[in-house]
Amino acid sequence: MMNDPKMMRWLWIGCALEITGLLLGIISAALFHRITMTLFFVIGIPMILLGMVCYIVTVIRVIISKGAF
Amino acid sequence: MTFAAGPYVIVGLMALNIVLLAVLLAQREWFMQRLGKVLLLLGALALPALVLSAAVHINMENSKEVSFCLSCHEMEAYGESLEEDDDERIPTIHYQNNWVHKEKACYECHTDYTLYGPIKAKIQGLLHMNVHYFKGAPKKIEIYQPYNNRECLRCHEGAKKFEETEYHQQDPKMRVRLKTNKQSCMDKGCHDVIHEVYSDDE
Repeated sequence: MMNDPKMMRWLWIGCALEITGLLLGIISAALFHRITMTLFFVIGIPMILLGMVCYIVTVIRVIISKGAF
Repeated sequence: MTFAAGPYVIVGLMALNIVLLAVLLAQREWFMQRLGKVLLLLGALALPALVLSAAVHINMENSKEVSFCLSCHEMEAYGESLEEDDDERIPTIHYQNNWVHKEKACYECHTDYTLYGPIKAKIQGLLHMNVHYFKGAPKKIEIYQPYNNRECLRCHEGAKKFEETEYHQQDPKMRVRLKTNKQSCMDKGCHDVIHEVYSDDE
């Protein structure tokens, strides 16, 4: 099941979202400017949260379909 | 570890998290092994959750500072009013006598002392960003609603000076009016000298 590209697609999308959100976080923490901070709060945080949701959903789908991750 | 090291630790953890996720994306065959699954759990869930909560906390703390509020030029005059040599201005005497934390003076008076006060303040901050960059600040900046006496009474109620002031004792119903905001602490003739950024004709 771990080789199923359809099943794992959302996991990769989630990882990409998390990487983008974390990059925004690094820029925000490094510059500490109101624009970067707003971008992190408005875009970065939802991206990271969405990435985590993608991971959880994928794990649940794999467990349901196979019985184990 | 001092608080000043916090942002550096967070940036380091974020960078580590990105590297971990990038490696996992490049080495997908690792997921067939237990170690790969553990690394994925760490990189996609545990570490981002930790980093996210710490980053939000640090950003929230930093944005409480006066220097952050004054980073928009619209607020410069308000910042200058805190440094004026004037014992009449309410914000000035609070700031200069350390009645509020000097580095968090704006935040302490302009954030509701309620459970969701800081969140409300941050949402309003986002609206200010919109006004600052896309609409332009109004000529005369005003607070969203009349200043709530609750923020004054939180510290002053019960304080010796407040309780012993003759005017505060004259009318027993006044305390009720203050608490219900039917009468403002900043009414004319009371504590009505605030930042005084605008002249009377504006």
